[in-house]
Amino acid sequence: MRHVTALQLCAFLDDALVGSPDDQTARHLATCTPCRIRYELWCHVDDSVRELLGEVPDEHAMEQWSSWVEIAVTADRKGLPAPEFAALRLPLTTSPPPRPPMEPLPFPALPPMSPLPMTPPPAARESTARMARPTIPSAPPGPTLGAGSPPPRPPLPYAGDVRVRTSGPMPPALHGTPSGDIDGPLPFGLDVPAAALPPAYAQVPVATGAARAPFPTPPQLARAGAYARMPKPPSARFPKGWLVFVVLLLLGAGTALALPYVCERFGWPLPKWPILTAILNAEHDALARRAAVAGAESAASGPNDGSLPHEVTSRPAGGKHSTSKPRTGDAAQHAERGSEPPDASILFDLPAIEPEDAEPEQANDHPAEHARPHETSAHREASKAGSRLGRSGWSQLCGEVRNTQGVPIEGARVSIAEPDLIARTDRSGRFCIACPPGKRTVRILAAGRAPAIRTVELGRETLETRFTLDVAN
Amino acid sequence: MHDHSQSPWTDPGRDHDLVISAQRGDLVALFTLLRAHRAELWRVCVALTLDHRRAERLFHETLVRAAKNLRTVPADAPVLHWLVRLATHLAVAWTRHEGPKTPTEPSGAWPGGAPTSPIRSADPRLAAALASLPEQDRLLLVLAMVERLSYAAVARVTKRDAAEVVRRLTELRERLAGEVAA
Repeated sequence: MRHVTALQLCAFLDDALVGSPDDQTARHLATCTPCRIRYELWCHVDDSVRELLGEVPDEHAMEQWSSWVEIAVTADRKGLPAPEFAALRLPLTTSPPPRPPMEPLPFPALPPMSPLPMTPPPAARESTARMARPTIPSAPPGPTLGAGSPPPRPPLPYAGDVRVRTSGPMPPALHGTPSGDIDGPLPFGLDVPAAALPPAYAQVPVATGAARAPFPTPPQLARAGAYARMPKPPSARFPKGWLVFVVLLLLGAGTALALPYVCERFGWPLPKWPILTAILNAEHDALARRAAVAGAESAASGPNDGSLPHEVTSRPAGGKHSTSKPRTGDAAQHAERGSEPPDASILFDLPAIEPEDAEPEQANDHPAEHARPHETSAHREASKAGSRLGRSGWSQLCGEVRNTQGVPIEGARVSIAEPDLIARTDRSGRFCIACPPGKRTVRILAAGRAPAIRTVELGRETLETRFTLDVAN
Repeated sequence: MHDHSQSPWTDPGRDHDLVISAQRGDLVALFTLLRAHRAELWRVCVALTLDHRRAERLFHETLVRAAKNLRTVPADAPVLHWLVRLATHLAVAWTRHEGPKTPTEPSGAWPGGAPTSPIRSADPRLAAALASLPEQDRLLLVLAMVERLSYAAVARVTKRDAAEVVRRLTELRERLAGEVAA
């Protein structure tokens, strides 16, 4: 008797035998005990496999799994990153336990205070004591490292600024997870860089991405740079000191230029400023050099004309100006010394005065002068000025300035060098200067006229002279 | 063998129409197609993994990849055959490489994490014997014993020769019977 083979038994179990083979196998299994036992064992295995693998899934679970698939497929069709299966499965899993409240990190211990060098007063001691012991809330002690605890991490290099937000719970970043910025309440500070944090915070590794610069600019420096790039007001670009300096310089220059004319106009003494005097004398020297040549030519050609004095402005060699009036005392001296002959050169230069048509009325305005032509107000004022200045030994140089037609020139500038004396002619072209005796050089300057320069020898008498100014070339 | 004339294993039904609509972008057709064979696919996933957690992940990944690769669905066979082969390929690959090595999941473990929920059997010897079998053999067992497919159908699903399928099933039965009887 042939037993049923394994292949026949497998096919019989799977209903793959049809016809006579199936009937023959069934009859054999009914009569053959070993084959029947084998058949029953295989049937047991098949039933166990069907029971084990033929599980009918829960319809709710199947719907949930299908929804996860649809979420992932929808995200993929929209070009979005497909969610991870673990994230999709979270709703079915038990919710994670709530995170325990974070304990604030212990405030770093303050360094011991060094003793004060001197004992402050009682009030100061009290305030110093408050400063030395700030009211810091007692922080819980830090975690104690047991035998199995990992060793403390070494301090990490500064990897970026740390933005500290004062709201929200403390993330695990402060507990060693390199997750970026620190978010959470800190016992101090608002926006502080990592370098400014105490060691407990500075050791937190932050900004592990390569995109961050190793040493980014802290917020404070960024704000400082922005402030430096801000447009500055004009006052900041141009210092006020320079502006004041320029204004003062302009005022000083204007005052220096206008001071001689103001002093001359109001009769004030001119201050003794060497620089100002040198500037003013430079013009005189230049004119004197030009007049020296013209004077030599005029001396060779003929005498100049002279007239009555009007006003004398004496300026000593030291630069101190003073307005003087013709001295009346000099007239008496002149009368007493009438025996002394006048300077021959001056007398020689005096031409015959031919009054013009307009001059008689002008002369009639001063009857006294007309009566005493050599004792005019200019003479008296010059004498008064000389006596007032204590220059009784000075003589007077008077004269008249006219043009080539004999018309008096008003306002002509008459100057003597050494001592520096200046006078202006009056309406009749007269001038009178009190001057120490000696050899003097007289310069006559008038607008539109060629300058005249002449050297005279002053004695103790009043010297009359006359100048004729030609039209300037 | 049972009559599988109306079974999704043998009758394509509207599968190809749904596949064409899904290939044109019809998500409703796609989701209908994926839901049509989820019970059969789930049983295959459980047989391939012998673990409910892993079966969930395999079921999810199989359908997601199927949605991405609808262009490769064969037109002359039911979609379920293609889904079963895809699931078997994933299970073999994950088991061979001890799970997908992705940045978000640790290597050396199956997708879904460390926690597993292996299927419970009244006969631990049978469960151990099944766990020792390769995925392809467990697929033959589930197709022949659970789904009651004919040898020809199993051969079409697994793309193996029918005689080879019968021979392999006989060997598996003898092995399992020996383990249970031991």
